[in-house]
Amino acid sequence: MSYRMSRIATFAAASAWIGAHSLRAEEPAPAPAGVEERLKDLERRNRELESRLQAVEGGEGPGASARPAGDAPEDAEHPEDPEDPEDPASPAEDGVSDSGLSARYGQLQLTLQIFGDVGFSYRNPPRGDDAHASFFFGSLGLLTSAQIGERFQALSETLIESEEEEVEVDQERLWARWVFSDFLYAKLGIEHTNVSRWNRLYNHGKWLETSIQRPFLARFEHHEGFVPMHYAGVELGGRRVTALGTLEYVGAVSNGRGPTPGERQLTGDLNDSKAFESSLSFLPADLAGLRVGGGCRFDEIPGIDGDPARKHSILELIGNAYVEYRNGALETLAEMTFLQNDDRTGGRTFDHFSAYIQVGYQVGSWTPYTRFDVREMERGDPYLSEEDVDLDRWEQIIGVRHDFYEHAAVKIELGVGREERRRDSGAISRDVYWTIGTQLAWFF
Amino acid sequence: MISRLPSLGARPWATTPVLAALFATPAWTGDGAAPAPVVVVIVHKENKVADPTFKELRALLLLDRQFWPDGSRVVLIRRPTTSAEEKTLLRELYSMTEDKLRKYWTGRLFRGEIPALPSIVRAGPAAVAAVSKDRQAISVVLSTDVEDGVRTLSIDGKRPEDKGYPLAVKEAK
Repeated sequence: MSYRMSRIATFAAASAWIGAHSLRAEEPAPAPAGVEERLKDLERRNRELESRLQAVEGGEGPGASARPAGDAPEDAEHPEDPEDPEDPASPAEDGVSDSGLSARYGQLQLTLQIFGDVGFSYRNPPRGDDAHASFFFGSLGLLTSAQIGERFQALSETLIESEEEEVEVDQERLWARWVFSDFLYAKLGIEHTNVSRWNRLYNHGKWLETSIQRPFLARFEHHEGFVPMHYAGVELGGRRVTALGTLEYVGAVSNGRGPTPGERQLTGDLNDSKAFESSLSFLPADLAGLRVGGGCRFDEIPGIDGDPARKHSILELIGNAYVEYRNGALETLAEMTFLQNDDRTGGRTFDHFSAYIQVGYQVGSWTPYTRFDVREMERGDPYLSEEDVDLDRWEQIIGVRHDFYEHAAVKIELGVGREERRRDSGAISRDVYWTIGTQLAWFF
Repeated sequence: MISRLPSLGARPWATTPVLAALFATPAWTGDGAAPAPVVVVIVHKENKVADPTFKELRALLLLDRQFWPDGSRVVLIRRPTTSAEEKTLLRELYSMTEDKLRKYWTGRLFRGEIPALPSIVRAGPAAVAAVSKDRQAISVVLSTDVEDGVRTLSIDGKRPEDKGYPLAVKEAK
């Protein structure tokens, strides 16, 4: 018998069975006296019918379990036939339950999500040897979240991304944590640093970001970033909900940065000095959607053997503050970071500063947004000049994001800015540039 | 009551006794009109948690608070964004659009702030049944769906039948 025929037969049998029981149930029912009683009676019968139907179709009553996992109630949103066009609450219309793949085995619950993005950009003047216009492969991210029991959780984020002409696989996050309570958790592994709100808010999820590019202060180590975005270490944190609002606190000890900005030291450490960072956030109860916070970080960056300009270590101090406001259709995020490198070899201190403000407003499935972004750097820092991120730059972008499907969005962005560039001769020039970009980002 | 009818749409045969009873019912008048349903917050009947304030409820339903006072984990059972219950929460409690709420949950999982996405239960009676079987569960249903086995929480000291209760359902225009 075909699958369709067996469905029809099951449906007919269920209808006959329930119809017979419904009639039997109706016989002894006395006529309700008032409208309210009639309504209650109808509600009760409706519930009985739902329960009986589920018993026939699934062999279980409603709400077989309320766990947020694979043993969710039969009515939960992972139905056998996810494309039932007559169901007003089919997964295609609902919020989150149709995202990701979820499985449960005993005490283990596993969720897998996949993020991807591709795009096109035009830049004038072009950068380096690149052409004006180019298509690009952005990234493919695989996120795995596992829960074992009530308090143990593990997370992995693996990213496949383009690195110049090659495609690389990077383990961006890998940690496990024990959650004692809302007030305290302990986490061990590779995680994103707390010295940027953008960094911890979006991680590598391009679909989550409203804009195409990250702001200067949150760019990754290999992509013009000057602030550390990853660490390997241990983190303690928690949150406390009070009458005044919610307080979030995080502290971490990690390997710290490697001898060059691109070395993240995720698999080892070249010196015994560890990096320390902490952050604090406050969400006032009387102003839903507002979050203010900041963080700081201290690190001893190791010197480089054989390089007289980097003979000794560099003490790096980072301070960060942000304001975030999301309410209804409005989203605003403003952030500033101060970074100081104390070069013990040259005896000089270099102060760097970067800030941005981004505002977006959702109108239906469209979100127009704009961002002003600036980086004021002190030239000649022996640590940052290796990758030319000791140069000033500002940029103004304006764009629109269109969420054409609940799990996919297209972004179109225009940008104009001015940047300092270091020529082969060592001379610095200031160039105005403008860009057009588009990005297709999705997750499932 | 009206808002519940669509849930029967997928099974038209199931509406037969309901429609028959409706036709047998005298036309509603202003005097006999049933009170408008409200969204109520339910927990297991043996859950002794204190009635929350409006702000505490927001923290619970957005999993800003993930543990009950006795140390057990909060098991949130969400309702579809198409339901009257979730629409009411979006408007009155979350101050978010549907898109923002979707991003909110995806982002929280992506950041590792929650170990898994909350499950979603479509029908109110099924949500009531699920909560009645799980001591750690919390959900929202229409007041007309409430049955034995669950405890209805007051919000800011107001019962669902009280005037000024904050989670009133607005009829779609």
